[in-house]
Amino acid sequence: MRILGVIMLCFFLVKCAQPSEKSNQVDTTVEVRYAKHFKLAQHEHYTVLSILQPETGKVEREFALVKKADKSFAPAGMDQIEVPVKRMAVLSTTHIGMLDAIDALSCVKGATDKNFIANKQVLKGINDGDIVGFSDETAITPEQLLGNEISVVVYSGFGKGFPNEDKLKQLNVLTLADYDWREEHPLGKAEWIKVFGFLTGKEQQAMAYFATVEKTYNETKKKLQNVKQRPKILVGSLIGESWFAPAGESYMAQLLRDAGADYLYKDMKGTGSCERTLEQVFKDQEATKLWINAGATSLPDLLKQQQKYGLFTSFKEGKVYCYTHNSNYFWEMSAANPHWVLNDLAIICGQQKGSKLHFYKQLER
Amino acid sequence: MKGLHVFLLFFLVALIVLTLGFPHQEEQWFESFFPAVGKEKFQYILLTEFRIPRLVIALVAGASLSVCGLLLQTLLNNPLAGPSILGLTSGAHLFVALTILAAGYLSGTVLDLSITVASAAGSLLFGLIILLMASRVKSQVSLLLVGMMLGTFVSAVTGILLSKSDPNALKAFTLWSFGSLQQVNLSQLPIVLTISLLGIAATFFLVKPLNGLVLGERQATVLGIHLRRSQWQILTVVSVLTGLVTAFCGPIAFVGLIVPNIVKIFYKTANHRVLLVGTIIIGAGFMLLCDLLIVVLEPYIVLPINSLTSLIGAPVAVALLLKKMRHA
Repeated sequence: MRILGVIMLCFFLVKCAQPSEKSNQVDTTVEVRYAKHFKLAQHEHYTVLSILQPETGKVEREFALVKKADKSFAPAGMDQIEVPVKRMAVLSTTHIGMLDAIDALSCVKGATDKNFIANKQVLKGINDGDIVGFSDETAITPEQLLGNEISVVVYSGFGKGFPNEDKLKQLNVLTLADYDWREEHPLGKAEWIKVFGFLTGKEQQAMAYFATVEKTYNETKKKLQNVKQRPKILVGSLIGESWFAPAGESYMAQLLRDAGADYLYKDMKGTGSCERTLEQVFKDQEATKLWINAGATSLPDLLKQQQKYGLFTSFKEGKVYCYTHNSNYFWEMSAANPHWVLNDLAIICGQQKGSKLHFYKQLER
Repeated sequence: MKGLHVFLLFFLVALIVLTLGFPHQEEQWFESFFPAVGKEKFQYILLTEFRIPRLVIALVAGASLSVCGLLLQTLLNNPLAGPSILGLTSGAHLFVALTILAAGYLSGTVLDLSITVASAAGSLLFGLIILLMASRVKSQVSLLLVGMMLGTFVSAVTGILLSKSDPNALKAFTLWSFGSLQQVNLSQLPIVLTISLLGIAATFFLVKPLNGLVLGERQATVLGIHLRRSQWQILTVVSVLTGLVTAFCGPIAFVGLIVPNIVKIFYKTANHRVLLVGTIIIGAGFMLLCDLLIVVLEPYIVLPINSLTSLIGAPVAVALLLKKMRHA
């Protein structure tokens, strides 16, 4: 009888141990089609968010996104984020745009400096003292985070980790690197909305929002992929001695190609930017009648920056476009809404009918 | 000495011709002067709007900063002195920051003049601080440390100012602070040339006090030099020239330090009439050579002028410092 009891006890213990093993099995891998720097894997009781190092593609950090009731199922040794996150700090205006798109701004209790924010709700929150404004990562103090009961800090990753990451972890504040800005595909940036969806418990809204963005973007792209008359376009402006133009495989170059433009430096290799001198750009742009992202609010403002811009063909034609009149709005909303950027560029290039631009504005004389 | 002047002048002229004729990208040598058919107007714009203003400002900046360096080295009896290392450029930097941040509505010649005046005022203020310190700090190396501290102080103040400024002013200041020879336009050349030529010409009226100061302040007074007045005059000229260059090109480091030392090696004299001529020619040539190097390296890397002068200047400054410590 005693032996039978021991056997039954062993059977019971083994049985108890089994669910956690079972829960480690991946039930669904969330489809991530364009973004290369994160992965989401749904398990029965939790979701694993993997942040991948942009340089190596290797897993930089993994988080178990787990509901309060399922905490006991979360794998040991992995950082756990209790979802939905109720109090979060976001250190890039882009994150605000993503949270706004899925109607999850109420969880924002800390944000980047208000000089870089366009969203009225967040600005009001900062002004009212409900949201704390941080100038940058190094300016954040543990007291501010604890005082505002912030449990997760999302920041733009630079591969170096967050300052005092380990100390903050001891205070139950987790830091999460967002590499959306390193994504090379316009839809890759937008796909990070899924991360915010899973963090805030609005995964369905995030998936639906991205599906709409993807559909609209790809429809426009498909419509314009065979256009024969592609206007030449110049991008960027001078910083010191150098003109930093997006390289041929960059995010902006892809957007321009998809918008039916013939980008001046499309043949420059790389996914980052290429450097030119003002004189080189002047020589290259002779037949280029369009210029975007010039970094000015009007043509006189552009001349104030560099009088030689007045010699550019696009300047003479008055066809210079920029988002500088509302930069914060552009940086906030463009990553989550690349279809709006694409539409703007298609209109600027004369490939799409309509005159209403969402982000861009033609610089006035 | 005249022979050396002529030789260096010939070298400078050759460098000017070489710079103007050097082929950029797929161009032919001297294509700006002999353009291909159909390219005449384009090459004319390239020459008059891009290359000539850049060449002129390189000459002006090189000559002016070098003359400032020579004057400061004699005034403070310190071969390691220069407008950037002593903090005069930092003073200009701070005042330009204040002007740009406070006067976003200014433009054109008014803005140019405001920045030039602010830049000169900043140089003058920091020059006076250095002069005051020089009378108390006897060690030449300690004086350099004071200059560096001033630079750090300015960085902190400008950092605070910029963090509270509006994005447009911040951008304008950031663009200026990168430093560039490309910022000057044909329309700005008259003002730049007038101020620089007047400033440089004024230094020749200071030859007597400069030669006296070489012997030390006491000897200079014995020779009948009005010390306080001379110090003011020298500092004013230095401030105007440093302010002008900093206003139009941004901060450029080390030129004022290394060129006068090279000139002294070449000429082996303490006569400032000779040294000034040599400094003007070699200073202008040095800056032009740096600019030519930027053009040569363009297909591989775009180097900011400030980085290039620092790359060359910093090792020379260290070598001079070590030499000085050995002789101490």
